[in-house]
Amino acid sequence: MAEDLEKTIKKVILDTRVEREHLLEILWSVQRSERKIDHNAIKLISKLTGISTLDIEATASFYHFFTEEHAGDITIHLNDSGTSYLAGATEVENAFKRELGIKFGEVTQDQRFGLFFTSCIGMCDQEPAALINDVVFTNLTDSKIASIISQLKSGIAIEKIIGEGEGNNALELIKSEISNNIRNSGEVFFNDKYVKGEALKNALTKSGDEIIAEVKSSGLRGRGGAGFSAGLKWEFCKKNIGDHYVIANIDEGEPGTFKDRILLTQYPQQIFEGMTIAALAIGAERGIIYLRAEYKYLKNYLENCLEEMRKANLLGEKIQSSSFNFDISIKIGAGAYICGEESALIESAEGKRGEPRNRPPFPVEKGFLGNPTVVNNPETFAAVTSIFREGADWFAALGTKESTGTKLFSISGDCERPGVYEFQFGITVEEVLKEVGAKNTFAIQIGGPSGKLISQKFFSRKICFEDLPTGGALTIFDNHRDLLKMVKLYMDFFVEESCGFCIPCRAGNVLLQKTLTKILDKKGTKQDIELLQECSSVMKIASRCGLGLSSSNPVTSSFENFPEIYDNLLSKESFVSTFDMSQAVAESCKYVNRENTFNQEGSHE
Amino acid sequence: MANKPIVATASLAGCFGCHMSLLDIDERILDLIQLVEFDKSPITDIKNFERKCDIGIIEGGCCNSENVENLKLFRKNCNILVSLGECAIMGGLPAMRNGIPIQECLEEAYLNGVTVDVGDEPIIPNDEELPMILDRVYPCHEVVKIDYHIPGCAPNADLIWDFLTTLVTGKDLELKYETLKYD
Repeated sequence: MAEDLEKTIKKVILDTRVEREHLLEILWSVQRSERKIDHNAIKLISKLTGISTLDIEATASFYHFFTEEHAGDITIHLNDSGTSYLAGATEVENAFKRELGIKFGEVTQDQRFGLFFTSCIGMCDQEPAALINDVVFTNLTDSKIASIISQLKSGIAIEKIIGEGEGNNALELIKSEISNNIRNSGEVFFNDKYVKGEALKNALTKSGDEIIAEVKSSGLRGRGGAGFSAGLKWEFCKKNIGDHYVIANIDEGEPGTFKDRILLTQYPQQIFEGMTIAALAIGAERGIIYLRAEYKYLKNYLENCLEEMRKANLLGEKIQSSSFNFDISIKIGAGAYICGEESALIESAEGKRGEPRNRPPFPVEKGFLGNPTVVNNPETFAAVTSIFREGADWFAALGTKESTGTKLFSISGDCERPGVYEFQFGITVEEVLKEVGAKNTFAIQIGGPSGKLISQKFFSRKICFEDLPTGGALTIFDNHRDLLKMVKLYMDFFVEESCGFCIPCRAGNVLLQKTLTKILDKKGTKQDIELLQECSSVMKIASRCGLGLSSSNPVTSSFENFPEIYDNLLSKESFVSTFDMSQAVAESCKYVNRENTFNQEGSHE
Repeated sequence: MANKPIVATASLAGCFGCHMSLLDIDERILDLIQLVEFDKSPITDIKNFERKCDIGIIEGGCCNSENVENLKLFRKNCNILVSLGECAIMGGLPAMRNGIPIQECLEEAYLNGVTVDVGDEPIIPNDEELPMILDRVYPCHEVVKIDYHIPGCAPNADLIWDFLTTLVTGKDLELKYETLKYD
């Protein structure tokens, strides 16, 4: 066994050269073959790589998909995000438990199956969804699970069980049962105007500064959510000295967001070409695709696309017979929402724990391996490709003055046609709702959990950076949904995903989650509302990165726009105790064999 | 004399450090007893509540059923209830066991720990008179309503003095930066 493991690790090392940045790859190879990364494996990796055992353990323990205990030969990860519950995840959860005879977080006695929860896997338009050994299963139902599990038990390979996917998902290299759900056509992304290499050839006639000037004049803002000017970011990066890097941030982990998945499936060349143009502008020779582990099913397909581009001399050495060299490699994450924060992503790409760095210095100054690095959303890179095909003026004429171009929207929740839409910036919320077939809409979570929960009074507002900014995720709730429960689910997510480095985020999210539970149990008082507000405001000031700075948004925005969902549940008393004596002594009574005669209040029955 | 506010104190799952800190107000204790009258408290050794008190001061959180009963008794008999120090406010050092199963805690303390006398046959104490240990250490405000929280481990004597004198004289207490920052 140990020899096999050594072979497995050595194979990765041979493929990649032993450098710290490949640690995640090595850990993945061990997790995949051994179904766990225990201390023996860590000692072996340490021996073969020279990285200390403590360092390896610290890194492995950070990521959700790496486990110290055996995770089952077949590891099931069911998405437990809010949208999953809207679509009926509770039924699916029970079906898994029934079919396998174990609870979530457990492994069957014969170690064949492991059952776990995971955060949003980017399938919000086809929930409930689960990953089974990296294979995505969508639109799960009770009977579908019964069938899947019985087939797996009879030894049928996972790949043979899945249904047929839509569009490129049906390709041999992807072979997933996922639907793209592209719901409209658009000027920038959803059309067939793309001709491979056209934009890059155009860019190759310009100098770096000219390219940057063109991106600036197009008004393109980063598509991740913050909306920082892409041209300006490139300009800052170019000015700094070092080996420049270009990174595409495909750690699309914000629950409710899945548009990058569609870009990657249908239009990956446009992303790669945009990255190449960025590299040409700032003088980079190496690009990295940081792909979230949940999208690993796309890796072979993307590798193949890159290979085709190399063959067409759009990547590699002396691109289009110029002196420009650039190539792109793919790095896979291991399950950590925080790695969507650019400095955490860089740490993770370097093979370390995905903890955010102190900023400044920003990545444009000291990014990957301490070098000037541009990190952009894949949608930003794809937009760049269209700009160098159609021109900056064309792009700037789309959308609004401050928010040019079109935006991809991930639409999920209560509507007839969930999926991905391309709209020009400036579209009103109302227009979006009409387009997607949403009826009796009561609230919308705009921009994912770290965005805002908006009410009907916002529906006439325009979606753009001048008015209602968003990274493009809209989760729609109609009037029969329990909003406060959704808010609590969002807080469950942040409690799970906080990296734990700084106290405001580590403790604050837990306090918010516990207080919401108390209110949902009708034990909340006015004091608890004050605690929610106080705690949120501390987190917004004192957290170390964007996660903690924005994770209280579901609470603050729901309180601002839907105060009644709190008021209706509040107790009139000034204090309601959540303490239950009978429950608190149950464990010790059981252990010492004493009868538990306490009631909830603490008197003897 | 009759109008002096009546103060009661108790130490639950604490180390008595907060009470020591109260005594650290030194000779000001003479001024304090001009202002208030102590009733049930380890300082007076009065064991039972015979009358309603104005201010109850609690050191320590709740680690067993008796702590809870005691705390509830204080809440019933005191108009104002104060959590004094880290353990009462957050569970403090005793809360380090939170997250460890009871069985493991008891076995470590009474059977396997390095300080267990190996000469005897070690047992887990289980006399009927003994209170039951709780699944975790609870801060006081999760069990009853707490009106004021005085931070510190232990809160320093000046803070306790300032708090009690401002409370009985009806002034506002200003928490200085140093009283909240410890590193």
